[in-house]
Amino acid sequence: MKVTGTIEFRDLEGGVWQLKGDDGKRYTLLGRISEKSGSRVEVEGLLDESGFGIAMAGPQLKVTKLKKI
Amino acid sequence: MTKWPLLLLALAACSRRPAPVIELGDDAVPGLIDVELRAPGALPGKVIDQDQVEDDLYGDLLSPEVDVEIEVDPADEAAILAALRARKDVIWAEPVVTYQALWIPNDPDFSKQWHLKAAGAPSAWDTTRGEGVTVAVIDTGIFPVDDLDPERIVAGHNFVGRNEDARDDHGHGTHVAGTIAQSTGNGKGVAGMAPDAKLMPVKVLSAFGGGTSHDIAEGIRWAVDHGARVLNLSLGGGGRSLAMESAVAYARRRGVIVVCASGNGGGPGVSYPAAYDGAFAVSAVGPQGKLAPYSSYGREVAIAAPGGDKSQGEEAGVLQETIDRDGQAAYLWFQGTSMATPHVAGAAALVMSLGVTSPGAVERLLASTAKSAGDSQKYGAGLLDAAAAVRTETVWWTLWRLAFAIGGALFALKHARAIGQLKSSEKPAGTFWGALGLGAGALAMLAPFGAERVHFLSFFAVPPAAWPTRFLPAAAGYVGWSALVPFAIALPARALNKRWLAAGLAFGWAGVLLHAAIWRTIDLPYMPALLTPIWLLASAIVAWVAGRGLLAREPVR
Repeated sequence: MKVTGTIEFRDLEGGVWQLKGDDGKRYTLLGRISEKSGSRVEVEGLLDESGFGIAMAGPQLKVTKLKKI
Repeated sequence: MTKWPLLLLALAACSRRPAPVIELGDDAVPGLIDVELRAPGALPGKVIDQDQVEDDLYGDLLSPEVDVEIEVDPADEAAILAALRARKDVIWAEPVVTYQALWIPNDPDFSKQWHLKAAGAPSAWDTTRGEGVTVAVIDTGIFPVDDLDPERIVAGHNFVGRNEDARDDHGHGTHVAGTIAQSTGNGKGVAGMAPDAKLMPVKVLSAFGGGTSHDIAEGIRWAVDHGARVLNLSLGGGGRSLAMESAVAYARRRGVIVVCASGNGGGPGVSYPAAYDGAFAVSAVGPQGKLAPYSSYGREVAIAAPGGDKSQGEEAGVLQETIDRDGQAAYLWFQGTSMATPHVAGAAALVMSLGVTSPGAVERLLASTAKSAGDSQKYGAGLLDAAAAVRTETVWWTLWRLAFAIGGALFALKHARAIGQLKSSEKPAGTFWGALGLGAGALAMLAPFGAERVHFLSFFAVPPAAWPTRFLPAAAGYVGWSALVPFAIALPARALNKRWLAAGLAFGWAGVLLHAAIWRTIDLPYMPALLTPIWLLASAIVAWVAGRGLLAREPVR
């Protein structure tokens, strides 16, 4: 799936990246992120509504492509 | 007999007299003074810490008071203290003294770990450090940082890479492992909740901190099969996985407690696996004991523990050694329900090292000794208090065991005399009461005075019925948690003319077995949970009969 929104670094569990999507949802991003917190981005990835991890705050999105817009 | 009421009155009078207020002395930290003011005001020296507090005892009820810690020149400390006490706006002032626990670890940054103190770890350490219990960290792995004793990291497994290398490549799992069992008293870094417990690294989450329900379920089962008695699951998700749910049930049936993070959603709705039946769900609080803003909550929350609240500053997080983003070892402040969970897992290890083998009993003990905090959706039973749990287990449980043992012994003596097997002039030897105390685990009463510090004697903190499981696999539980020992020694004891000793031991043992049956503290392998109390009760009766038989001067035919 493809979502646009704002990426945010949250100081939770040692640091997790989240995407505040324009669709109103909050996604936990799994992958290497090199953009700055607060950037507008378009993320392509695999959505895992029931994925498990350390963030425990919203569905996971495994990032395959992330570009600044 | 008339002396007893007087003695009780005297004791009551002693306990009501307030102890003198602390003065400058050996315990005082040079130069540190704690002052409470009616309102913010100028103070000498350097302000180290300042908080608004509601002092119900000495302050007024209308406005909050101000508690300030100041640092002054130690040479002028006495004069400054006197001057402060003379001031009208000062409610009280006293020197800051060192923490009163018997064992204060020498780890230099232990003082920054407010969260370990809030969880009651330091006082619990005088009794137990979690020896003999293995805690599995089902997470991103554990990196063998300096402040983790490699001797206490047992073999693990990596379910992400499908190999034996369960080293952390993220930082989360190592931080969690530190909270559970960071090397403590080694003069380095920081401390952990159960510093003598063993850690089992089970890597189920990738370097990005994510993982699958399948791997996590497999990790849970692997840890159970390889000897873990506490599982720490500082992870979660919104999906209910049947594989994971059945793995949690598998762990519980095999006497393993499953401690899980409630989630970081910051609202109602506990994540899985915390929300499964059989999981012990932990919500997170900050330094003031109030629910942290990120913590999820709901009716599944069982207990609350410190998880940090960095909205109040970096040092309001949880401090442990881990690895940073570049893989370098570092002491870092983390916050999250993942950080609260290992405080509870560590406390469970402390409690289990004292002989409880039933996860249900551990949960009940931790819940019943938690400090009540209100809203059970947010805090469950309340705030974790490891010290209170350990105190209940050593002091109160031992008193019950002794009461049962003495009651049984007196009844048996009376009966033996009534039917003429024992002359009324024949009083039990001193060894009888001594052996009864030993069998009932009275030595556990010494534990709060530091018996645990003598390492090879640490099993004195538990009744002898629990000794085999301290060193041997779970199946050895049948040696202690049955009438085997009192019965086996009865015959040779009579031949060796040590029948009073053996009888006392049997009554003590019976008291411990009866306590275990009523409090349901024991899980035995291969035995259905419903049958265990019946087994223990029957064993208690058999042990009592062994003791009763020994009271007869001639063998009963």
